[in-house]
Amino acid sequence: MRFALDDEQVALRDALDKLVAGNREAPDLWKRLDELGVNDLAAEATPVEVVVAFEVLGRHAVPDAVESTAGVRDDAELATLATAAYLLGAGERVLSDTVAYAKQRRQFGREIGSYQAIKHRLADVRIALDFARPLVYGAALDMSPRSVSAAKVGAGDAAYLASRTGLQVHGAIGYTQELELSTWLTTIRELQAAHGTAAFHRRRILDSLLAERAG
Amino acid sequence: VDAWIRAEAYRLYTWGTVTTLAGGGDIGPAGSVNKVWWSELDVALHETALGLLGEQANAESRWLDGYIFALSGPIYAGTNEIQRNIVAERLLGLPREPKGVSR
Repeated sequence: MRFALDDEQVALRDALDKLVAGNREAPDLWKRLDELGVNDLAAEATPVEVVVAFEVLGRHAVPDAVESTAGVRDDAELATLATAAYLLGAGERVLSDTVAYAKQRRQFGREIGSYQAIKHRLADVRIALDFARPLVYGAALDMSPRSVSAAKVGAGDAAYLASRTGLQVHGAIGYTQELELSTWLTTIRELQAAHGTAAFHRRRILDSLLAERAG
Repeated sequence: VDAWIRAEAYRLYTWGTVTTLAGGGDIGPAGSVNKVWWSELDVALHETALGLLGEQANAESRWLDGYIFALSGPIYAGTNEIQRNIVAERLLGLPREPKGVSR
């Protein structure tokens, strides 16, 4: 089994990324995404393409991405998976913003990112996101409810860890409106609850594992 | 359920590693990401099992032996703290810590 994006999927990711970066607030963004076929994704694209697209949208925190994609809403499992991918992207973004801040902010004569107390927390976020990604992409390949639930829980936990760590590393400035961080925190929380809470999805996984066991 | 999710993530992650390596690629410092994950997963799986065994957990069993061995996972092959330094410095690009002054 090949477990990497193919050229076409990479091209979709890069095209979307180019379009969305810097145009996040553009009023015609959704129109342009629509022209690119994002709203038709659920109808025509493969789940992997949906995941690729939503991870990019999450990275740029496109407002209302999950709500706005009309096509995805018709398919509960795919919408859940899209939310997981969005969480993954959002987590990646918070991590990268936080790493950038830790390299810049100095305290006691050196960058705070050089202290192990900070490094280890950020490394844990990197690890959590790296292991959430295969759950999300793996679910896109088989689309079983159990895999989708695992993706949602894994990506939700990793993104939440990213946001909590992000706030702590930023310190008080993370609370202020000068940075967007607080928006990310609330968005991630919101998405964790959307399309089934973690408790719901854990329950679904348990039921599925028990049913398999019972035969 | 969390133990299952983490094991499943590990299974799928490994497919990605194999694909990279089979394609002639190099995983580089991502190996440190992997090491922290599996060694902590190994401990967590055994803790879960012993928790299920309840009072019987203290009797000799494969799970108890496995648990004792799993405890060494986060230590050998470079402790997980060393691995986290590698992840932070080589993957995230955080600044290295100043070298200690030798006396």
